[in-house]
Amino acid sequence: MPSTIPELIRDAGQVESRITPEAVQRRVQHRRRARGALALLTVILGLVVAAPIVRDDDDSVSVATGGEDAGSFGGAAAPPALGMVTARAASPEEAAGMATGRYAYIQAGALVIADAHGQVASSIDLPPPTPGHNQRLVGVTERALVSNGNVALIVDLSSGAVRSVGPISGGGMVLDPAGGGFWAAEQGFDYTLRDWEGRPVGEKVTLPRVSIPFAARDNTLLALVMNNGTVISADKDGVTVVGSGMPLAADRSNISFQTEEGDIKVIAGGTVRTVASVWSLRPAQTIGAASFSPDGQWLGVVVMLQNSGGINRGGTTGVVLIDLRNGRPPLLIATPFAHGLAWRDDGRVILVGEGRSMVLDVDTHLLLEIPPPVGQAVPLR
Amino acid sequence: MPGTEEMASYVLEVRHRLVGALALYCGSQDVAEEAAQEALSRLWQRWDTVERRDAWLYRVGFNLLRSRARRRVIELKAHARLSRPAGDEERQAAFAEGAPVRTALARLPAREREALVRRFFLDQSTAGISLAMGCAEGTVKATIHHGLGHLRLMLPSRRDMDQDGMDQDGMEQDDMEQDDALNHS
Repeated sequence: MPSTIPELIRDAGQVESRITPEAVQRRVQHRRRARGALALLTVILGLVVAAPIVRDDDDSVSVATGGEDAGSFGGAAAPPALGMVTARAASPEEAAGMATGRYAYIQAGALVIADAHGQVASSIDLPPPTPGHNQRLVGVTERALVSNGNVALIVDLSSGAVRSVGPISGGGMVLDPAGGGFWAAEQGFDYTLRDWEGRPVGEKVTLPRVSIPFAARDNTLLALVMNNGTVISADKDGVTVVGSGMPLAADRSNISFQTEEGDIKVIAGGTVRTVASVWSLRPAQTIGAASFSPDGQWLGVVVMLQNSGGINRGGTTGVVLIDLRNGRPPLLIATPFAHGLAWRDDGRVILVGEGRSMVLDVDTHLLLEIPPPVGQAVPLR
Repeated sequence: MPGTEEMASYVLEVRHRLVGALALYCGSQDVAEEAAQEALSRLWQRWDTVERRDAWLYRVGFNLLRSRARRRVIELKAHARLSRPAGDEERQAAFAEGAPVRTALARLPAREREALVRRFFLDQSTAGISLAMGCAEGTVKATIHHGLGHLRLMLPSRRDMDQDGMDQDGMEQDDMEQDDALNHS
């Protein structure tokens, strides 16, 4: 007979589960089939939606497709890669508000550089992907950094030369926003800043286990601890917890993240402050990454509006613009098609999604369409 | 699929304990079963990439139940299982024996509940709990302490102290005195 509360808890939790490995496996297979069907449907819808506005020379169409590789794809000639329509990931450059006059993305085994109108400026062939891994564009400054399994591919944009650096433990790497190199996993969760030759140039920073670094600044790594949702700042002296939630964006002086409650918080100079509550604005959730404006005054994020269905069910989206300096109430601007955003040098916002791209003027709230559309892209400086 | 046998034996090994912990957390064995199966299927898909499988599994299980929206989906799926297998009444009756404790647990704040389940049902150390819950070890001890205090009020017939010098928090007296000192400083 249990006499203490711990014993009572132990006894109350003694249950017999009926879960079987076969049932778990069936659920895995069911999920894979559902994702495959959704991906196919998405591509079909993408083609239908994008077709009326395709006006490129080679008749290519463009949709923001999910996953790590995304971008425009050829019309009849080149089959599109399957993928769900999701928001694109933020890059450190985008978060830092670097110039968005050109974009880079990975498509069909090549790093593609395109201008703001979607015209391809150059295409640099990459080595084949490591079996079992997707190539992922980590970030771009004057060089592009591509994760390729356990090695990093460093692409010199001016010469087109591709250098392979590694091995990198687990493929974990983050671009140094100052352009001096990149942070790479040495062993497990130990990270070191390396130059473009791959040589370590700084002291080791150790992250907690199961952490994903998402930004760097001033010899400090910012990471999300996966098992508890904590956002941490780590340098050679140790780790500081700076908040909790999912990382949204970072530049050299600011970091933003969203808590489980829907608050968007910004960390600047070691101080955490809440700048907006997504729930109070009535959107149901943010879609993908937020990004800081080039001058650091604004934070923009695409949101799914409440009760409008999922993004794959034609739900309505909007853009929330948060004025970080003046503390004015956040602006919510309905943009039914937008799945992602990036800032231009002139302070305007580029919105992409459903095969379209538009420019939003922050002051006047005017939306101007800019054909042809761009796909998932990383702005270059 | 490579590793299927290993994954299958892992499911058989952890299922009772996982469902037990989640049932203590959410108060319903049906909902716990659904959440556990969902967490196991997610782990199955990431079998080769997840390093600390147990920690990952419990984290996902608790997260599934913590989010209101995700929990609603889990509950709907659990309640959709209309046909119960033979012998289920027996199982339900056995589960009902612990009802007062689960009811009391359900009235606790979520973090206190999770800390108590991890500490006393899963036998995790306070250091392990602090890592899993993303807070300091002292906070974990205080959370457990408060949780037990609340449970004692709801289950007043229980003894306050075990015989071996440990209190019900599972912490040594020295630790608690230090915590108290910190709390009062």
